[in-house]
Amino acid sequence: MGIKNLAKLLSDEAPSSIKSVPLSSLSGRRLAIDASMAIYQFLIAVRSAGASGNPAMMLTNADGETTSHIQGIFNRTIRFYVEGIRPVYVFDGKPPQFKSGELMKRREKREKAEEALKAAVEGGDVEEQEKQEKRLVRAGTRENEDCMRLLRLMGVPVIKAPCEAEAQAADLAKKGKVYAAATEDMDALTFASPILIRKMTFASSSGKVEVQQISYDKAIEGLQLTHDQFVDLCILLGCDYCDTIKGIGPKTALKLIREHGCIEEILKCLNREKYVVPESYEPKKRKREETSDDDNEEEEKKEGKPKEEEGENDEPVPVYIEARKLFNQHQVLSTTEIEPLLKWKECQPEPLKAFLVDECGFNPERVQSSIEKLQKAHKATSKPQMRMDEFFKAKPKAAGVDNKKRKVEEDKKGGKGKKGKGGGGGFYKKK
Amino acid sequence: MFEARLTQGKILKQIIEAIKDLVQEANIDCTDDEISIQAMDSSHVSLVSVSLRNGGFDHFRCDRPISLGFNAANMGKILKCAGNEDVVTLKADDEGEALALVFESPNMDRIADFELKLMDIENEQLGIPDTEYKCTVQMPSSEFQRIIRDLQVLGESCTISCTKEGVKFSASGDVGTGNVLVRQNATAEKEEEKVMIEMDEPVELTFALRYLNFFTKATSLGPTVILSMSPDVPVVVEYPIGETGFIKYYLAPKIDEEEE
Repeated sequence: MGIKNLAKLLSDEAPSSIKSVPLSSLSGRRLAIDASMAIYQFLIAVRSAGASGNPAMMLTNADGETTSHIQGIFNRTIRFYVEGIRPVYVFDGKPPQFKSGELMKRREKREKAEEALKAAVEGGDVEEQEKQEKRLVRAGTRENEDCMRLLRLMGVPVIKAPCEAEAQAADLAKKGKVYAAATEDMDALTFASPILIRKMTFASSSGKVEVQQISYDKAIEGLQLTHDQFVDLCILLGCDYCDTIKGIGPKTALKLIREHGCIEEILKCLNREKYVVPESYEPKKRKREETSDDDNEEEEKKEGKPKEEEGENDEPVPVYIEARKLFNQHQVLSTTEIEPLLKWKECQPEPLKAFLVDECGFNPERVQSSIEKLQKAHKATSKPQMRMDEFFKAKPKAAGVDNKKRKVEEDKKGGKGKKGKGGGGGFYKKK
Repeated sequence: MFEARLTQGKILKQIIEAIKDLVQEANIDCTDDEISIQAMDSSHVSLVSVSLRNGGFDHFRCDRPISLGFNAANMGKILKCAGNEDVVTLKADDEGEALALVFESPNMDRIADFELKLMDIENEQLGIPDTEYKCTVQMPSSEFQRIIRDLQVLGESCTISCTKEGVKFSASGDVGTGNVLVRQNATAEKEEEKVMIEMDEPVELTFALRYLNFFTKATSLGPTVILSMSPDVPVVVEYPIGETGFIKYYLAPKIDEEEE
C-alpha cells in the first residue's frame, strides 16, 4: 500500500511540506476521500472491546454480517458535515492490470495469515488471534456496496473511479473540484494531488483535533526534484505497481535520483554487485545474458534511452516505465462526467433509519440523533461559507526578507538585544 | 532600529483586544511610514487589517522595514499591565528577538518596561485591491454592536441588505426571526450619531454572526463604523482610529450553492 517510507523521507528532507493543521481550517472545503482506504481502516479499528479472554470482535448485525465500516463511515461523515467540510467519497474501480503482481503477493500473505490464525485459535493465543484476524480483514465488494448505499441515503456524493481511487481523488484536487485528496495512501502525492490530507482519525487527547496536511509543491521543492524525478523516486522507494531494486533505501534512492535524474540513467551506472536489479526492470537483458555475458554493460548503455521510443510490440517494456505511465496517465473520469455527481443533497431520513436500524441493528435513538445532527449540519452548509483566499490572492513575499534575516541572526543571539534596551534611554532624552 | 511612542497607549491595548479572539498569531509590519498588522482567522474566513500611520505617534522611527511576529494572547496579557492613560513606547532592534514595551504613567511617576518574545510567523499576506463598493453605510459603532448581539440570539447567520429604505439586518433560526432596520439619519446633532448610506445599487449578503461578533470587539476604538458591501465579495467592517489609523475586518459571505 502506498509508497514505502515516503512520509518519513519527506519529514526528513522537506519538513516544510508537512503541516499539522486544525480540522477547523478545512471548514468550507471539499475533500475527496479514498473510500476503500477508509472502509479498510474502519474494519480494522472499529471493534467492540473483547470480553476478558476473548479477542475484540468486529461489530455485526443480527445475521452476523460485519457493520464496523458502516458505523465508521456514518459517524465520520457527520463529523465532516459538522465541521463545514463537504466530503466526496471515491471508490476503487478495476485494479490496473499491472497491480496483479502486488495483489498476488497480498493473497499469499492472506493465506499465510489464515494458517497462522488457525494455529493461534488452536493454541488459545488471544493476542496472536486478534493480530492475524486483522491481517485477514478485506474490504470486499459487499462492504463497498454497503457504504455506497449508506452514503447515497445520506445525500453524499459518491464517485466510482474507473481505476484506482487515490488517482481519481488526486485528479479531482488537481482540477480544483475539491481542495485535497484525503487518504493515508501516499500514492495520492505521486499522482500529484496538490494537497494530501492524512491522519483523519479525529481522536484527540486535548480536544484539539488536528490532521496532517502535505503540500505537493513544497514536497518536490524540498526534495529538489521535478515531477518526473519525483515519480521515479516513488517507484524506487516501492509502490504498488512494481518491484524495487534491492538494497536501495530511501536515502540512497533520493541521492541517486538527484545525481542521475531518472531510473534509466541510474541503471546505467549502478553498482551491480551491491544492488540486485529485478529482472522485470530489464526484460531484454535476460535474452542477451544467455548469448553474451561480457557485452552486458555496453549493451545496456546503448539501450538506455531509446527503450521508450522503440515501439516494437514483441519487446517487453521495463516494469518501471509501466509504473510511471500509471502514475502520470491514470484513467480517471472527465470533468463533464464528474460535474453532475458533485451534489450534496438532503439525506433521506426514513430509508436511512430503516437501513441502519433494521438491517444493521444500530441503536435507534442514536441513529435518530445522528440523523438530526446531519440534517442540521446540511442546512448550515447549504449556504456554504466562502473563504478569504477565494477573493484575495497571496501577495508575493517581499517582507519575508526581514524574517529570514532574523532567522539567520538567531544563531548569533546574545547581548545584542540587551544593548538595544539600553539605547532605549533615548526615550528619556525625548522628554 | 524601530521605535514608536504613542501618547494614547490605550489605542494599542484596544487594538490587541480587538484582534486576539480572531487570530492567535500575527506579524506587526513596521515601515518608515506606518505600522500594520494583517492576519486571518484559523478557518481563513475573515481577515483583519490594522494600520497606524506615523503621524499618529509623537515619535516614530523605523530605519528599515521589519516584521515582528507575536502571539496575540501574550501581547494582550502584557498590554493589560498598561494603564489606560499611559504613554506606550514600542522598541525593537533590527535583529532582536524581543519587542520592548515601555509604559509611562501620565505624570511620569511610574515607568514599567516589558519584553515580549518574538516568534517567526510564516503567514501569507493577501493583496487586497482598492475597490469601489456598491454600498457604504456609516453608523454609530455601538448601534452595530447591539444589533449583532441581539441577532445572535436568533440564529447563526445574518443577512445584511442595503436598500433605499435603509440597511436591514435579519436573522432566523429555530427560535424565530428578527429584523433590525436602520434608516438614514444625516441630520443627527452629533457627528457620531449620524447614519449615512451611500448606495449605487441594492446589495444583500449573508454572513456568519460569530465573526461579526468578533469584529464588534473593536467598538471601543471609535464612535463610528463603516460597512462596505458589493455583491458576492467580502464585506468590510471598518473602525477608523482617530485621523491616522484604522482597523478593517473583511468577512467572506455565505453563498447560495446554485450561484456557484
